[in-house]
Amino acid sequence: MMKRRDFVKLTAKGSIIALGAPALLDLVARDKLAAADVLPPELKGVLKAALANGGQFADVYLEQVDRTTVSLAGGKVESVECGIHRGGGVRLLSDWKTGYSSCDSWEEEELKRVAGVASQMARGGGEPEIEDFTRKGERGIVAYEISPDEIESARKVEIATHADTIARAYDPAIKQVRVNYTDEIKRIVVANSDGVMVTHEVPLVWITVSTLAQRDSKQQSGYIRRSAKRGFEYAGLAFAEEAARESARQAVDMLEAGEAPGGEIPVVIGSGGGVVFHEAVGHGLEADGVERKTSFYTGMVGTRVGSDLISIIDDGSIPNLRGSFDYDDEGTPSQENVLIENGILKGYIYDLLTAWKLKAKPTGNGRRQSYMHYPMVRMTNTHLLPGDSKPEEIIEATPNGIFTRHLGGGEVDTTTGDFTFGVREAYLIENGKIGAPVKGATLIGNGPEILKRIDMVGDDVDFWPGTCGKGQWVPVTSGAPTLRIASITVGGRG
Amino acid sequence: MDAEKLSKRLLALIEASGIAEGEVYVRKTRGLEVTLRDQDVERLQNTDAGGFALRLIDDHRMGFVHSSDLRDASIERAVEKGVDLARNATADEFNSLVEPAPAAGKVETYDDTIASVEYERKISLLKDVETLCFAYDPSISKIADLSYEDSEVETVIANTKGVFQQSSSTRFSVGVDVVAERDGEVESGGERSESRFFEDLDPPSRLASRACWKATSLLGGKTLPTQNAPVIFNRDTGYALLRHLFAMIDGRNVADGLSLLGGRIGEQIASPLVTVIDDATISGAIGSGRFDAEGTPSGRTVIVDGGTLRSFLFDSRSGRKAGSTTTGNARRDGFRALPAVGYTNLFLEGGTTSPDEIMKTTESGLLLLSLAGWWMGINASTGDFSSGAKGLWIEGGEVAHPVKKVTIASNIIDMLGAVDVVGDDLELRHAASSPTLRIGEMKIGGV
Repeated sequence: MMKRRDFVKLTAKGSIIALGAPALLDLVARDKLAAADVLPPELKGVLKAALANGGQFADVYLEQVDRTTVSLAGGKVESVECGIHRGGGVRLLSDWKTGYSSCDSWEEEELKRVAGVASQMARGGGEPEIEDFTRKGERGIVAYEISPDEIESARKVEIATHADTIARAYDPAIKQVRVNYTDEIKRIVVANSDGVMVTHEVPLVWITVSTLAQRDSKQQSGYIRRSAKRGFEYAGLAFAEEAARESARQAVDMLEAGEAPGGEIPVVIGSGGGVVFHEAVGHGLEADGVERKTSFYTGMVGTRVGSDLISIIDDGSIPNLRGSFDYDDEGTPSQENVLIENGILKGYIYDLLTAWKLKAKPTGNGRRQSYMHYPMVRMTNTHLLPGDSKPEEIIEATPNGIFTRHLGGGEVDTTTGDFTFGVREAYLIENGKIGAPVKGATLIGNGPEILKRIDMVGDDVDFWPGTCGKGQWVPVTSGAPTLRIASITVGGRG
Repeated sequence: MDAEKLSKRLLALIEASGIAEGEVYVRKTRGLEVTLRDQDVERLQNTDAGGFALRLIDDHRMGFVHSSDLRDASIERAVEKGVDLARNATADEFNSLVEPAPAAGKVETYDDTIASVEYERKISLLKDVETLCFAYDPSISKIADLSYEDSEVETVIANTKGVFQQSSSTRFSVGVDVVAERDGEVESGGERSESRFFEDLDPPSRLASRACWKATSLLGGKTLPTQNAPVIFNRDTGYALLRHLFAMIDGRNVADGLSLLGGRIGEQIASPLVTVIDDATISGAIGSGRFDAEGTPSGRTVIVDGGTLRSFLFDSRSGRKAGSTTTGNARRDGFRALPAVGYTNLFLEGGTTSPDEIMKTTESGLLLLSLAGWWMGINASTGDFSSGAKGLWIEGGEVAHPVKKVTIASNIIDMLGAVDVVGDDLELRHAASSPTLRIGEMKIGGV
C-alpha cells in the first residue's frame, strides 16, 4: 500500500489532471506546505477582495484536518472512522466590527467569493493596502516523529482492542468498557493584511477509556482520557494500557463509595486538578470579557486577587501538550503568559482584536474550533505553579475534609465568578489520613474568593487534558499540584 | 453542491465497489449569525458548509468516512478509503443499515420565508431586545451577549437497501445574557428563544423581561443551612431532569448494560404524575423531522406513562443489540459524527396545577432558577444528580429571599419518584421541555 504522503508527492509532481485540476494551494498544502513561496499572490488577491469595501484588517485561514477514530464497545470495534476536512475562512475587521465567512474549499475563486461576503461588514471603499508576506517558520513546539496518517488503521484498532483487554483483566468487577481512539494531523495556513504569514502542522492523539464496575447491587464508572500534540510515536500500546488500567482502577475503587458530605469543609485537590483554575480564574482573564467589562477581573491588574501561594500561568509553548502550538490561529507565536504572580494580577490573555482594542500585545491566544469559526480569546495550558509542600504533608495537616483524586468537568459564570465542578473520585480525610471513598460530590464556589482560601500548595504539578467549550471547542490542558482549599461548599448527600 | 446529485453519485460508487452495504449521508448548511452591541452590528458571520458521510459495512465490519472535499477524485478516494477501513475493522454483528419504510406524514420544519425575511428586521429585533433590557431596571448594567442566528439545512440519506430520504429544515434563534449590579453585587441572567419558523420566535419584550427578571431576582441572595427540603424546578431548570433521564433511556447505554433502568420495562420507576414522551412528529417543534439520521421514519414514543417505564429510545444498532427495534431516534451532530441515539422533542407532560399554586402550596422550599454544572454528574449507571443552584427561598407559600451558593443533590430515580405536583405550563420551546414541578425532598448543601 502506498503511503499517503508519497501519494501526495506523486500527485503534486505529476498527475494533476487526475485530481480534477485542484487549486495550486491544495497541492502546496498536501506537499507539507513546502513550496509556500507560491502562496502569497493568491492569498493577496483574497485579502484584497476582503478589503474591497474598506476596513482596517483582513486575514485568511486555511485548514485541512485528516482524522482517524476507532470506537470500541462491548469488546467489539463499532467503527473505524476517517475524516478529511478542508476549508477556509476570511475575516474582515472594520471599525472594531467583524465580518466572517467560510467555505469548504481552498480554491482561489471560492475564497474570493467568501472574502466578498465578509467585506460587506465595511461601508467604505479605497484601494486596500496589503503588506508583503513574511513567512514565519515552524518552531518545533508540537514536533512529531511519526505522522498518524501513515499508519494503517489495523494498528489503531489494535490499540483500542488492547485497552479493552487490559481494562477487563484488571478486575472481574469490570463489566463494560468503551474505548475511543483518535488521531489527527491539522495543517493550517494563516495570512493577513499586515504581512503575517504562517504555515503550521499540528498533530494530536487522544484516547478515552470508560469502564463500568459492578459488584453485588453496586455499580460505578471510571473515565480516563489521555492526549498530547504528538505523533503516532505517543500512541503505543503502553499509552492505551495506562489509560485502561487507571480507568478500571477508578471504577473498582469507587464501588464501595459512600455519599459525600454536604456543607462547607476543607478540600484537598489532588495533583492534576488545574480545572479549578481554568474555571475559577482563567475564563475571567480572557480579554473579551475584560473589554466588554463583563469579567469580574476587569480593571484589576496590579491588585491582589489571591494568597501569596497563587501564581498562575497560561502557556501555549510548552512542548507537545494538548493545548500547545507554534502559532495560534491568527499567526501569533504561542508564549508563556503570567496571569497571577504571588497573588497579584499581572495581565490578561488576548487575541488580535482584543489586544488592539485594549492597546495590549497579542499573547498567542487567538484560537478557533475550525475554519468555520472566527478566532476568539482562549486558554491553552493553564497551570498553577508548584509550592513547597509535599502532598503527604498537606493531607497530614488536614484533620478532616475531602481529598479529590480526579475532578470532572466544570463551568463558570465569568460575570460573577461563581463556578461549579464535578468530582469523579474522592475520599474522606479523617485525622490527617485518606479514608473511605465518597461519591456524588460537587464543589461550588466563587473564583476570586477561592484564590484567597488556598492555604497549602504542593510541589507535584500534573497536567490533565480537556476540551474547553465557549461556543467553540478547543483542546486545552490544565495543570496544578496538590493543594488545599481551607473551606469550600461541597454538595453531597451524606 | 447539489445534495441529491452528490448522494446518487456516491451511492453508485458504493454499489460499484462491491461492498455489501453502504449508506450516504449528505448535509448542506447555510447559516447567519449576528451579534449586536450598542445598537450596532458587532459581528456578522456567514457559513456555507457541507459534506458527506459514508457508512460502509462488509461482513458486519464497518468503515465510516466523512469529508467536505467534494471534488470528483476526492469523492472516489473517500469511497475507496471507506471500503478499506471496513475491511480492516473487526466484526460486530449489530452493524447493519436500516430497511426502507413508509415515511411519516407531513411534519413542518421548513420556513420558506427564510430567504425573504429582511436582514434589517433581524437587526431591529436585536436592537429592541437591547433597548428593552436597559429599560427593564436600573440595576441592568451590561449585556454580555446578544445574538441572532438562522440556518437552513438540507439533508439526504440514502442506502443500498433502498432508503432515499431528503428534507430541508430551518432554525431561528435569538439569545441574550444580561448583567445586573446593585451595591457591588453582580448577577447574570439569560434567555434564548429557538424555533423552526421566524414568526414563532419570542417577541423582544418576553426575551428581555425574562432575562432581566432572572438576573435581578437573584440580587441579594444568600446561602442556606445544609438541609433536606422540597425543590421546585421551573421551565428553565426542569430540562436538567430530562437530560439525566435521557442518559438512562438512551438505547446505547441500555444495550451496553450501562443503564440503571435496563431490564425494568413495565416497572413503576417514577411518581404516577410523571409521563415522559419523545415525539418527532410535532410540526414546527425544534426537534421534529420526518425521518431520523439513518432514514427511519420519525415517530412518537411514550417512555414513562404515569410513572411506569414503557420504552427506551433506540437507533437501529442499539435496537438490534438490545433485542428490540429502532424507535427512529438516530441522531447525528453534523455529517462528521456517527449516528448515535438522541431525543427529538423530549418532554414531561403537563399537569393541572398552575405554577403560582405550586409555590403557594409550598410551606418551605427552594424554587430553582438556575443550575450550574448539572451536566457533569450525568451517569446512566448510578443516576446520581448533583448541581450548583441559585433560586428563591419559599416560606409559607411566598418568596422569602434569593438563594445562592448552594448545591442540590439526589438521585434521578429518587427525584422522579418524589415528584408530588406537576404544573400546567408546559411549552415545547426547546428540544427538552418540562413544566414546573416539585420534588418532595432533595439534599441542599450550604453552610
